[in-house]
Amino acid sequence: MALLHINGLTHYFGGLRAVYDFNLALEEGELIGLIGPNGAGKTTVFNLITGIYRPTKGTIQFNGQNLVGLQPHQITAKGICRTFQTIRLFNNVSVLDNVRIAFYSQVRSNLLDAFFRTPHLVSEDKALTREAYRLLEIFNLERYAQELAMNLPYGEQKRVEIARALATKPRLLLLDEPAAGMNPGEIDRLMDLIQRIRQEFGLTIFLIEHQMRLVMRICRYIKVMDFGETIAEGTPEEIRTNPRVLQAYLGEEVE
Amino acid sequence: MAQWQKLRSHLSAIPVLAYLLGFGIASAIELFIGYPVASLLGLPTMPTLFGIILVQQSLALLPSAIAYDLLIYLVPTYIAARLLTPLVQKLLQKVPSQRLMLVYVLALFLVALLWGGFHEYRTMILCLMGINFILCISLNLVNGYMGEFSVGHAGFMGVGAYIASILTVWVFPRSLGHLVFPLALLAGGAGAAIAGLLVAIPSFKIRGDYLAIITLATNFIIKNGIENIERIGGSRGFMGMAKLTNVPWVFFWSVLTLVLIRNFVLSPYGRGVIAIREDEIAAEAMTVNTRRMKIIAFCTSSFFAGIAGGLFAHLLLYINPSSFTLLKSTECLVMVYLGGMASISGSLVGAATFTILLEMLRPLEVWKWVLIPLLLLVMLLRRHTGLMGFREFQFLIPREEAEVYGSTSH
Repeated sequence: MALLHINGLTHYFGGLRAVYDFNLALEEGELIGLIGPNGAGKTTVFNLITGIYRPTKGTIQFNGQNLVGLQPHQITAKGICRTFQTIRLFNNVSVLDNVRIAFYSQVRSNLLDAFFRTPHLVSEDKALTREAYRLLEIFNLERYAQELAMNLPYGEQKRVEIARALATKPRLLLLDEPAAGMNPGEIDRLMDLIQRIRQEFGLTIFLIEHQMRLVMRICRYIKVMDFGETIAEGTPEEIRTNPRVLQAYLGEEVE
Repeated sequence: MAQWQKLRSHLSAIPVLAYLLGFGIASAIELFIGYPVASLLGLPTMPTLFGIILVQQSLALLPSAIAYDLLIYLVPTYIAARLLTPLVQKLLQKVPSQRLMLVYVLALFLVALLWGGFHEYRTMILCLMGINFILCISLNLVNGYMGEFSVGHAGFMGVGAYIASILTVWVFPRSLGHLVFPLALLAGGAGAAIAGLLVAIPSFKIRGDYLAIITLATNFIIKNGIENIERIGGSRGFMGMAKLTNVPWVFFWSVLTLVLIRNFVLSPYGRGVIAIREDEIAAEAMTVNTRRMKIIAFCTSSFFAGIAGGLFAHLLLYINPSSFTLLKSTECLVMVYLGGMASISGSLVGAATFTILLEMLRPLEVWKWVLIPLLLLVMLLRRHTGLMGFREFQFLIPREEAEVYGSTSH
C-alpha cells in the first residue's frame, strides 16, 4: 500500500486546465521529484494535496485515508507538511516561535489551561520549547532562536521553513523549490541536509525543483509536467534522454 | 549634558516599585495636607488632576500649580522612593518571580485607592481608566495580535451594557446589589461574545478591509437595533441602575482581564492567533485551526468588551444607544494604536494616557477632538507601532517565557 496515492487528479481554474489526470503512488521512504517548465501546474498539485484547493476531480489518499475535502490544518496534522515556493515564515515572530507555532496540533492542554496558565500547560509548553530548540540545533539555527524571522538571511530563512515543517511531525514532506535563489555551494549543503533529515526523521519526500543538478542527483524517480499533464516519468537517466522532456524544456527542433 | 546623564542614571537606579509606593505615600500625605497647602499657595480648590484643569481656567495659577505638584507629589515621591529602595530591593529578591506580578498589582491597587479612593472625581477617572483598559486590551487581541482591523468594538460594549443593566434593574432583586453584580456582568459579556460571532463567522472567508467594513456594519446593527427596541427605552436610553461600579470592582475586572488575556496570548493557542496575523495560509499549513482561533479571538474580545460595557453602565447610571457609536469605537482604536500593537503593557499605557489626556483637555471642549488626533498623528509618525508596540514590561512576562526570551517577547 502506497503512503500517498493520487488517482486522476484534475483541477480547473475557471476554464483553465491547471492539472489534468495526475497519478502518483508514493511508497514510504521514497524521494521523488516533480519538474516542469513554469506554469506547468506543479505547485497546484501541492496545493491540491495540502487542501488549499479542492480538486475538480480525482482522489487523494494518504495512508489509506481520503484527504479530499479536509481543511489544510487537518491534512498537515495527518502527517503531510510542506514548504512554500516563496518563503512564508511568520515574519514578525521569533524563529523559536515560528517553530513553536507548528506544534499547534500536538498541544494536549485545552483552552481553559491556556487562559488560566495551569501547571499542565506550563510544563507542556516547556517541553515543546525544548523540542523546538532541539530542532533548531539540527539545522544549526539555535543562535537565531530569539531573532525575528524576517531579520535572517535568505538561505537561513529557507532552513527555518524546513525546520518549522518538521515540527509538525510529518511522514511526508513536500518541498516546493527548496533550492530557488541559492548558489551552487548552498545547493550542495541543501542536498546534504535533505538526505540527512530524510534518514533522521524517516521521511518520504516529494519535491518540486528547477535546479536540474539537485533533482538529478538526489531523486531516484522523477515526474515531468507540462501544461498540467504528466509528459514523462522515470529514473533521471530516462528523463534526461526523453524527447518529450527535451521538447518541453528546449522547444521543438526545426526540421 | 553630563549632569543630565548623571541625573537620569541616578533616577533609573530606583526600582519602579519604589516609585509606585513613594507616590502612594505622597498621595496619603496629600489626604491630610492637600487642602491647606492648596489654599496657602493661593489655589481656589485642591488640584484634582495635578492642576492642569486649573491652569486652563486661568494661566496665572501656573506657578502655584507647579509649586503644588512639586511639594505634594514630586518631592515626597522622590524622598520616599529613595528611602524605600533598599527595602524594595530586598523584597524583590525574596518574592519568587511567579508572585512578582501579584506584588505589583497589590501595590498599584493601594496607590490607586490612596490617590483617588477618597475623591469623587478621581474615583470616576480611575474607573474610566480601568474600563478603557479592558476595552483596549480586548480590542488589541483582535487588532494587534490577530491582525484584523475591527472598528466596531463599541457595539459589543453596548450589548454588554444593556444586558447587565436590564439584569440588575429588572431581573435581580435590588437588595442583592454587589452580590449579583458579577453575574450581571458575566451575562453581559456572554451576550457580547455571542454578538461577536456576527464578525467571527464572516471572518472565515473575508479578510482585511472587507472584514473591517463588516465590523463597522456590526456596530451599526447593534446600535440601531437597540434604538428600535422600545421596551428598553429606544433612543431615549435606559436608566435606573444602582451605582455598583467602584474602584475595587473595576480593579478586579481589569486585573482579571489582563491576566486571562496575557495567559492566552502567551499560550500555544495565542501563538496560533499571532500566526493568523502573520500569514493565514502558512498558519493553516502548520496545523493551526484558523477558524477555531478566529472564533475564540473574536468572542473573547467581545466578551471583555461586554464586561467593560456593564461596568460603564453602572458607573454612569445612564446609557443610550449613542454611547456606543463609531466615536466610542474610534476611542478604543486610538487607545490601542497609542499604547502599542500586540502589547499588554501597551494597552495599560494607552488606556491610562488616553483617559488622563481626555480629562485634562476637557476644558477645551470640541477642540480636544482636534488636539488628540493631532497628538496621535505626531506620535505615530515618530513611532508607528505605538508607545509599547510588540514589547512588554518585564513583570508581565511569566518566568518560563522570560528565560526563553530575556526582557522582550515576540
